[in-house]
Amino acid sequence: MNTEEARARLGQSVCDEIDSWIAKFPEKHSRSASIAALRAVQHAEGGYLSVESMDAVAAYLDLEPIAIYEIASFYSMLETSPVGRHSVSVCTNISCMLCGGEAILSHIERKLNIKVGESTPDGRIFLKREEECLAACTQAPMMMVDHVYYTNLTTEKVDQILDNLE
Amino acid sequence: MNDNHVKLTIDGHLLEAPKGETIIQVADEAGIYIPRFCYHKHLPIVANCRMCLVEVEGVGKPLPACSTPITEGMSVRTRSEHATDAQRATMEFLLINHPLDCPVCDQGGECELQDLALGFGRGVSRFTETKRVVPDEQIGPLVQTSMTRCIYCTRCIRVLEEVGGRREIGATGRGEHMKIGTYIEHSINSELSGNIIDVCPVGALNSAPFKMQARGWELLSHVTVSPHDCLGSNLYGHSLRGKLLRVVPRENNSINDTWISDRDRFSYTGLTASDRARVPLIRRNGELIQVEWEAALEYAVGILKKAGADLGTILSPSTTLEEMYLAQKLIRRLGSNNIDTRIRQHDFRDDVGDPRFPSLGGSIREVSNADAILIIGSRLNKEVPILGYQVRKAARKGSTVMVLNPRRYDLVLPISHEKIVSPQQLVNAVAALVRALAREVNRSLPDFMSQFSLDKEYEFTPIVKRLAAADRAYIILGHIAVQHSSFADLRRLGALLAKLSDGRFGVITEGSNQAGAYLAGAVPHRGPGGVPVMPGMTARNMFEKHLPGYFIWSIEPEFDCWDGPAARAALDAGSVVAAVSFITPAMREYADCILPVAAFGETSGSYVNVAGELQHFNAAAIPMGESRPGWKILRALGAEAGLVNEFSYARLGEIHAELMSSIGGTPLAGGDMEYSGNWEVKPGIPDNKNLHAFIEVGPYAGDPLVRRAEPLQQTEDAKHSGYAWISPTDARELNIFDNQLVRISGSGSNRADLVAKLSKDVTRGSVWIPLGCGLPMHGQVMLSAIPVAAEA
Repeated sequence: MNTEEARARLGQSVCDEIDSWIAKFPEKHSRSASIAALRAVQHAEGGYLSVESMDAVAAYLDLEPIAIYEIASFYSMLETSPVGRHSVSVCTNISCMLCGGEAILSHIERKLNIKVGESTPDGRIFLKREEECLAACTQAPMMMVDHVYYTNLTTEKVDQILDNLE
Repeated sequence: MNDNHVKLTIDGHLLEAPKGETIIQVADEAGIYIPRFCYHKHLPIVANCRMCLVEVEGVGKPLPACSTPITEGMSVRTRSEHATDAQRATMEFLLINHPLDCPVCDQGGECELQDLALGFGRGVSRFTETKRVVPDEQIGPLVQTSMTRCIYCTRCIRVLEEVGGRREIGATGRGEHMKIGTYIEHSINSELSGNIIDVCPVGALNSAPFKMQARGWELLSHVTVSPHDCLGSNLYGHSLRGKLLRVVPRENNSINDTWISDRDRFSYTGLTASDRARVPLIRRNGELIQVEWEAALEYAVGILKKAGADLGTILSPSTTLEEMYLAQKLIRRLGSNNIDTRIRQHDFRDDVGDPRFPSLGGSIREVSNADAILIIGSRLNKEVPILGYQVRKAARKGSTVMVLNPRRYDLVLPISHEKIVSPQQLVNAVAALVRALAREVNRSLPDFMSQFSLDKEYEFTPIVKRLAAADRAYIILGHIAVQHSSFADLRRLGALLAKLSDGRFGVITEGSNQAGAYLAGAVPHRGPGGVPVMPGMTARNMFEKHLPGYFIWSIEPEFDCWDGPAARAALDAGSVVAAVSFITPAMREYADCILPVAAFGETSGSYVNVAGELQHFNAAAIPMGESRPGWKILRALGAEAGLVNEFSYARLGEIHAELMSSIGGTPLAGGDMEYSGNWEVKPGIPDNKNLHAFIEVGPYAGDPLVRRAEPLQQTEDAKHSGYAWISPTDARELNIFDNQLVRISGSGSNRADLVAKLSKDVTRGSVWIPLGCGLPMHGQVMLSAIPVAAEA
């Protein structure tokens, strides 16, 4: 895959975002934009990174594909197998646990009828593995939906957030 | 004390070393052993195994010796309680998940983990939980994986990146789930992939052909040298009960560092091919029958003598120096000057201007230190893999690598400027480059340059600017150039390019001893010592002419000669003595006498590499069947021919000494880069509607031994060579589709039926075909689709 083919595969808006990240780093250090690029692709392509999309990122950044596979398989925020479109992770670390994080998680499991680590059958929501502390202890309990923080959760608030997801 | 040096003590020894070195480098130099897994002196430092932890005075925690730079007054203790505690702790962690399968592991007995576990491990494991298991990956026919044994030192990743030039494997996943592999299962295609076997400190990556063959301690190690390319990589041949079972690198920092190509490492697997020549054969009543050596020698000498002055002798360019010397001595004494080793060369117009021997025009280190390298007509990394590595080294140091090729190849190099011209036009393009460079540096051109017409403009500005600005430019002509029908012109132009850029010029010769052939007198225009003699016929002439008798040595002309079909016709017509290690079906038809010669690893001798280095090697194995080392066969032929006194050598060393007295000792001088002489130039062929076929000598097709190395033949590289590669534009015009069976017809009845593959890497008007398909290296052809009905 060459750069042009990669651009066609990734789409203009994703490429624009990758370009904005490349611009933040010194010249010839496009590798530094890998994580941001993968995150952008994951958001644009239904919540996970297919091998083809990773190959496209590698070609776009002029890296060997294995360098991208390494990053994608290392970071837990990046998914390398098909999951639901929206990624939901609930913190159950100490502060959230004391403030009812586990109850929030069980509520979601019951509501969606899936266990942690699974996706809803309609492919709408992916309930990520229990998340460790996301550094929002002062607003516990909290969860992260598509890399956006939602804090001071109640079951009503959770229902509202989840029901609004497409 | 030198300003750039610092003083430090390691284990009480006062040492002095250059600034910037790390503790482990200084300790290694001083002979102080520090345990390690991930550190390797020729690879980048990563410090991820933590086995080399040492105590540094004044620092509270142990530091990794591999990545800690030395400082003035530093005091290091490698065996203190603090240090050994850290080393033992690391060892215990490494063994947590390592399986206890040493009895069935090929690495057993030569395993760094075993050795260090003995030195630093605990007698009893405290880990009682379940060990993890990692699934194996299929990474090709050469390397056997057992990934559960991996300790994540990442040496293999770094070897493929640094030496092979491409990150083909990596470490995916994290923590407990991390594994080394390709992620998407595919074979590793580097021509240097076997080196991951050597660097793996455990049994995770082992040689697939050597699987379960022997234990390291049973093997005898013998010094040997690569017979496959002109660099002469240094090797050890490991044998068990007289059988060569494994080939590994021998460190030589002026040639191959600690690496060797897959071709050198695995070609030995061809030694046991079913068509090995095991007994002497002579033709009687039309049949080849087995006879005693005495009868075969008498029969052979009869043929050689009968042909006399009209005998044609063609040797493999990988024949040993001593055998080349004896062969030329024998046939010259029988009255013939027709001897040659340049079997895939077609253009001999410049023989008269040859230097003492063809060479790289400098040392291999000079190539890796060049600041601008121009490669002309070469698939460098596959032709001479270790030279490809050396150029890669140069590129890493900042050298500009440029390419002018008749077909686009992935050289796994950071190419700054690449120019692809049709093979027909290659010589014109190089001439245009010479002209542009002369203009740039404001120098005049020799007269012969006016013979090249200027009918086509080429854009060479970046290459010209770089060559003109370079301090240490290097022009390298590769095998495609050597096989080109305008080689003489290409060589003269290449030398001129080097002159105009005040750089060096070298030719990559075929085989492992082409330079030696000149010095031994095994080319038609040179006698022993490289002294000019009355020229006999070249390999090309000998086959074009149909001589009454031929003496062929370790070649299979239908594969190994420029014009295979012509060679076959000539051999069919004449009487043939074939001294070979393998017998092809064709040979059974044309040969009148077959003398079984010991193959690679079974004979001692010496080679002169392309940098003019003379290297000796010893036999590692016993010749198979009744085959005999070549020099003994030639000695016996000499005696049989009545030259008892002149061929009365008791030892190989005597032959070598006799030859060296005419060569005049080492180092060998005169592998010059200037070419004198005058001849009419042969300009390129115009790019028109005519289609030209060119043979691509695949990386595993070049000589009889590699062609029989089964594991190498199963690689992607070998498979890639078996097709007719054509440009999509030509294919469209000819109505040819990808994977279609096509007939390529040359002159006369020459033709080849091949599967077509379309590739934009091929220029218009050319089709690239494999060796041995029944066409010469280059010729105008017609290409047509074979209708599906006719296939059956």
